[in-house]
Amino acid sequence: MARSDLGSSIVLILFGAVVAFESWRMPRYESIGGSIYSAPGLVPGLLGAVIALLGAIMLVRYLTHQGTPADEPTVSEAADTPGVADDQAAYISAPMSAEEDAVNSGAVASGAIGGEVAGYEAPSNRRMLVTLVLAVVFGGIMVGRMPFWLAVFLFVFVSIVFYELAAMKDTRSTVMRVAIAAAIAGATAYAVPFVFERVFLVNLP
Amino acid sequence: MFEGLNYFFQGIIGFLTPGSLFNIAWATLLGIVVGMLPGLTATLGVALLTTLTFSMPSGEAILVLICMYVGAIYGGSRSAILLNIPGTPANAATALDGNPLARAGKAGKAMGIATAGSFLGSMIGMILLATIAPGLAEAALRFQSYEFFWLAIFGIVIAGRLTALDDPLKGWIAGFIGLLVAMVGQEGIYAYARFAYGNTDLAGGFGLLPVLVGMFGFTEILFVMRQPAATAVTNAMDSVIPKVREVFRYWQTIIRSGLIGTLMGLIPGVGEDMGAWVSYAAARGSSKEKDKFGKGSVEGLMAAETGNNAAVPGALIPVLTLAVPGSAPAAVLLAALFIHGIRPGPLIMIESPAFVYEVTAMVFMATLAMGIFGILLTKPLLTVLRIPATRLMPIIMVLCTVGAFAIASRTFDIWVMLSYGVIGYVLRAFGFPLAPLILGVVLGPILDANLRRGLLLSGGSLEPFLTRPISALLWVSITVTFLLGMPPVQRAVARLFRRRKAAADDGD
Repeated sequence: MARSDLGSSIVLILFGAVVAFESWRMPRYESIGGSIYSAPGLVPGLLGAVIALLGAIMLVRYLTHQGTPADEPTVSEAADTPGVADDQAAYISAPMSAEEDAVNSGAVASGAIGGEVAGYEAPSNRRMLVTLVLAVVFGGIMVGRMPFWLAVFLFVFVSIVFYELAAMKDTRSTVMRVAIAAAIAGATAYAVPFVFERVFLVNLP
Repeated sequence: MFEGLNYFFQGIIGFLTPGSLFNIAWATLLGIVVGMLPGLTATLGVALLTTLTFSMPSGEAILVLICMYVGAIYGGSRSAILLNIPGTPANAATALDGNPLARAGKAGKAMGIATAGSFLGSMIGMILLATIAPGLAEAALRFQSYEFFWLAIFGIVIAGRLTALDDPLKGWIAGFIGLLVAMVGQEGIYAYARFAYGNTDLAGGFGLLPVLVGMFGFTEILFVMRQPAATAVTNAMDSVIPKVREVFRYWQTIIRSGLIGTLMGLIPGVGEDMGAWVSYAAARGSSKEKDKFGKGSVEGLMAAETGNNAAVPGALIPVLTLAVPGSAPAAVLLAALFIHGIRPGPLIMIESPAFVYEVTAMVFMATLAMGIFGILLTKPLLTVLRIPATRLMPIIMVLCTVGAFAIASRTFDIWVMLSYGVIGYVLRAFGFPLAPLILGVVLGPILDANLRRGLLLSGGSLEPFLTRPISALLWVSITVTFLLGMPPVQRAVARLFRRRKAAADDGD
């Protein structure tokens, strides 16, 4: 079992328990004649309990499988079991292993973590974090505090320049790429408000 | 029956106005482009267009959304074949045989087969939509709170199981977290604001669209930016027009995949991805050329592309008849129906009998447009794949922000989008699928209202939950699915099979 399952299961158990407890504390309206079956806390409480229970199953699974090197997907496990006829096993396991291959090689789209395949560079956590920070600054802070088009221009421009920093090796390529970034940012800052507000009559921030 | 056909043709004639044809054209084309671009999924495309079509007349808006949906699921095959990167998760199976064909210099042929498969898959799904939906709506009229409660749980359990085949436990956890997300905010009986702690924004609850744009937009952007871009495609290519003889050689595969795809769409929350995978597995199982699969099998490619597009109309069946989404993009479509004042559900055939057939006509028009664009515009559209992610993703981020904001004009929704984007990233990084979570957000209110209503009606007795026929069928299926997802049970079942086989061998 994946080591991250240990952490996940503990977080889930705690989370489920907190949700169940908070649901228990919700008013039950019994004083105004409300039935216990209509209490607002009933369903979220049950959901919290189910999440904690599933987390516990995950924890037990992790603990019982600890030390066994096999990290087999359960479907392939069933397929690998001797006794399932060979062609049947191939039928069961093939789409799964194939799926994993496709997911790994198509890591960009499918987002498989650590899907390092020939032809791809190492994943860049730094770039992901900068993307996150830029997005939060744009969506959470800039939007609503300055004209929308200006916020869009700054966000798109800074993002593209940052992503392509590595490719800016000499003055010429730098000027080229900065100019392209500015052009894309300018076009977006013009087109998004135009399309949303003028063509489709949608409110913007 | 004939009444249905009549409505269907009326629907088609209704869409033959210049305005509608223009909408069909741009929406399908945009859908294909959205599908082609890795990082942009059908779900996000439909979600962003829901915002954009907010002030359109309802019929036109739904038409645009269905065109986007059909186009995107098809468009993803282009990048799967050429880049070995599925444009949407639904095209992952397409890459298995599509990319080897492209590497063997048959990229055009592969794309032609994908076009034919998608077209025929959509058509099969469409016919099933028109024939199954009315009957299902009638059957659903007998559903009471007890059945709707189990239906909500059933959706979570099946979707959790099928979207996380290697670890269903994580699928179920994701689904239950989704149900819990839907609990935040005012509930239906006392208007008590759950988990709001005095915050008025939280009391309004999390909107489906901001959560969805976060998880399918922002999460995706974070993953894309983590990975450097893939290599560009070549332009040298054979003809992209499918050969009729070649297509009809595989008529059995097409019909089988169409049926499987529609069924996968029909099951709540399962959708196109599994439509493709299960069709692919079935085609492989019954193929005479098994060894070719994964190395450029035309049959495998056909199965995958027929299966995923057949799931599109399939996913609309429960949307219309039960108000339960068949897939993630269908969940957005369901939300869009409510936004536009259409009330899907068991009463649909009574309140607006024409609507199911109008939707069928919309699927038909979208499929037609998809087929035409697929044949005419494949080569020029490939330039889209040359746009580097570094230039595209910031623009997508702007659209996600606008998409989250514009439905309710709340700045809070931008924060919801950003937060759920991060939550989605973390969950996916730890192996939890997001589709059941989204289904949970849709099913949460159904579960909440019907469990409490059911308990009130029965005076707290669980008997009607367990003994009514449809309820019993649902909870037994839920229990079996759950138990079969548990490794100890799986091992026991495998042992049983082994013993049986051994016994059979002894008998020989």
